[in-house]
Amino acid sequence: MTVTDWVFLAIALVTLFSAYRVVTTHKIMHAALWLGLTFVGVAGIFLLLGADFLAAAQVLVYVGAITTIIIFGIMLSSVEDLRGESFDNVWKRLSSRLTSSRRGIWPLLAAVGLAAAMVIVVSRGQWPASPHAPALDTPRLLGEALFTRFVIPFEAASIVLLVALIGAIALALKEERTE
Amino acid sequence: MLDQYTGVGVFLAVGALFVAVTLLAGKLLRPHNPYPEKLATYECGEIPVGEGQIKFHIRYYIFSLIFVVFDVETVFLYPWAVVFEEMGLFGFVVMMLFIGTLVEGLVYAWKKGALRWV
Repeated sequence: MTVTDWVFLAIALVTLFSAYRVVTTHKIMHAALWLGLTFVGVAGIFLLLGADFLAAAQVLVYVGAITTIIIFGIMLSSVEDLRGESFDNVWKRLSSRLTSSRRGIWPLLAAVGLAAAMVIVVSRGQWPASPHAPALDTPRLLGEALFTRFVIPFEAASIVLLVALIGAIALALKEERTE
Repeated sequence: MLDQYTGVGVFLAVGALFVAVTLLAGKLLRPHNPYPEKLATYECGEIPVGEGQIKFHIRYYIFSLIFVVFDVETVFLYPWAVVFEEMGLFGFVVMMLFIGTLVEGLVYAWKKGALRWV
């Protein structure tokens, strides 16, 4: 194995382990932090594939912003909702979850559907045999694509962000009034 | 390709090692003598009351969301700055439209009083 393979193996193991901890850890705040580490691992994989700008954006947006949003979401939840029932027996919990529709069957269906969609996308995709070995000037390539071919989607992205911002403000102010 | 990130790798390794060694050294050196009073949450010498975890005010969420929106904007600013010279006026106008749309959201938040700290 080459050095790149070893580095990939290390990053992939860290990513998989932290992703596993996200769903198995007992404290939801720990889950959020493990999710942050998962995002860092994904950034490392982007870096290995030669997508250096994407890796930087991943750290900036996902590790910096999305994790923050999730942590804020946890902080805004009431403590009783976060605690849930105690974690005594994993199998008992599993069987009780699988028989309830809101906490078992629907999430399971959604997860299986998402996994199936991911498998289809991965199997259909045309993957290059090897990543671009020479480090390309990715910010320049992205900039050129953004301001020529993808200028309309780029402007549409600002509308999407605006909608998210106004929607959140409207919801938050409504909640504040009812409190 | 990896050569240019050797520094990053060394930095990560040293950082992880530093934390591990410091915590391990502390664990080996310190006396271990816990009792209930010592393990209690410190609240300025008083006996702690209620939950340590509280529900934060919804207002914090607006600030974090505004941060996210402008964080995403920053990501777009970087490739724009790189190709700024070639794109000329067109690129400038496109970016100003982009930023203008987001500033609209900020003005909305401001006008609605969402930015006021109470």
